[in-house]
Amino acid sequence: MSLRRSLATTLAGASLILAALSSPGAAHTLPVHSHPPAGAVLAEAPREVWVRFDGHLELALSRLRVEDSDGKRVDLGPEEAQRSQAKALRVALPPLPAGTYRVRWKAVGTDGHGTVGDYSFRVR
Amino acid sequence: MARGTHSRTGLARWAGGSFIARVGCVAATGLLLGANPAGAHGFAGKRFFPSTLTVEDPFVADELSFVAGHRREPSEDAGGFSHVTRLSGELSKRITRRLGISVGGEWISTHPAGDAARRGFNNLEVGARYQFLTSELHEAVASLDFGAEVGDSGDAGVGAEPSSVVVPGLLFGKGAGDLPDSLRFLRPFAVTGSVGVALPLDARTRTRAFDPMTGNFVSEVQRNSRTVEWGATLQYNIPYLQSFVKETALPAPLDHMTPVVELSMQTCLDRGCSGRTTGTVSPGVFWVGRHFQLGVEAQIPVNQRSGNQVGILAIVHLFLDDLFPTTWGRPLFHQRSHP
Repeated sequence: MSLRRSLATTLAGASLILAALSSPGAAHTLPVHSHPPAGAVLAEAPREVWVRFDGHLELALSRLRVEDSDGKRVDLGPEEAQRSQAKALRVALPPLPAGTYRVRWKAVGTDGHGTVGDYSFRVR
Repeated sequence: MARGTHSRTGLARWAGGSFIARVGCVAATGLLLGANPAGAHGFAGKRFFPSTLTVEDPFVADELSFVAGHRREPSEDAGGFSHVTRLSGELSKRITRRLGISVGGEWISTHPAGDAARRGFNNLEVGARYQFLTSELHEAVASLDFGAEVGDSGDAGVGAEPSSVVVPGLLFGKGAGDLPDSLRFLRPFAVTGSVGVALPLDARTRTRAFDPMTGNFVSEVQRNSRTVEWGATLQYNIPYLQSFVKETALPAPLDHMTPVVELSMQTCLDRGCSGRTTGTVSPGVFWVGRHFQLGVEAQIPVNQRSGNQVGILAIVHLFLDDLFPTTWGRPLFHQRSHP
């Protein structure tokens, strides 16, 4: 019995300790908002693309790029982070013709955890 | 690696492109941007799979989960059913990025109809898992799982069996992110599944029980049957919809929700119950944050043998790799991903 009670106590205690000692800034960084938004159909070509994340980024390891429907990179890289917040990645764009474009990103948090993603938008 | 511990025992076209072009584009995400630099709980590419309640999720991870449930369950007691409350916890730890172990315990309060309540711990559960497939391109993952229930480590009064049970199994998950653009609103869907065989180490166990009617101890022989434990989940990931398909103006907390339906089944193979199937269907919803996940589900019996009332399950699930990324939350043996 003591083994099982010890296990339960340990699990409960561990959770409290974990909650108390955890580092709140570290976690997988996930997108919360982007411009243009995913799936958008735009009458006017955007001048920039940015993706904002829910945590701080390791800027040297994070990437953002924009490709046309042939997979050719069209943004004006290199990538630039919005350093005032360090939670977003941004690239400027040249005037884009009508077409479908794909935004690809890799976000690496300050803890080294990374996430990847992509979405498309269309310019009419 | 989280699970409701009672589950084991009870267990393209993209716009403008062809399929090949789409596959190439996904590959480009990985190759041109670089591979995911650190192992991530529940991720296969951009797909996140939440930890489900009655069906094992297929990931190896560092995590701690607590599950609470209440249901009226069929029982061999005189009344034919018991009100059962279960509180379980499980700690999972990565040994390497692909190999993990787990230990879990469960406290049970069972109140048979017309009888006194009994409380105690179920048998200790331990497990090991090897994640042999992770495809970022196809949002797919698969693992070999080996679980064991340590016989006679719990209270017999709440149904802990004297015999140990081992459960080798296969777990898998697949996201629908590679559907063609015309079906893009179906891309947030994902399925996971599990199949395993519960193998008691003893074909029979003999127990002695006090018979209050006669005042004597009676010896009982119980046949321990082999059981196929199988299940599946269907999920619709709203954060996936928001981030990768179509951003909508969903307010919090809806933008972090994943509705899920789980099917958890057990089919007896032999020793007096061959072919009998029991199980539950559990619709519910998960909310996933940066460090933890919450979830609640209704638990609906699939047939009379499985019960006749709806139960409830809830989970609090902590992502240890996010809470302690440089200490407890990383594999015991790991390679540095970057300077």
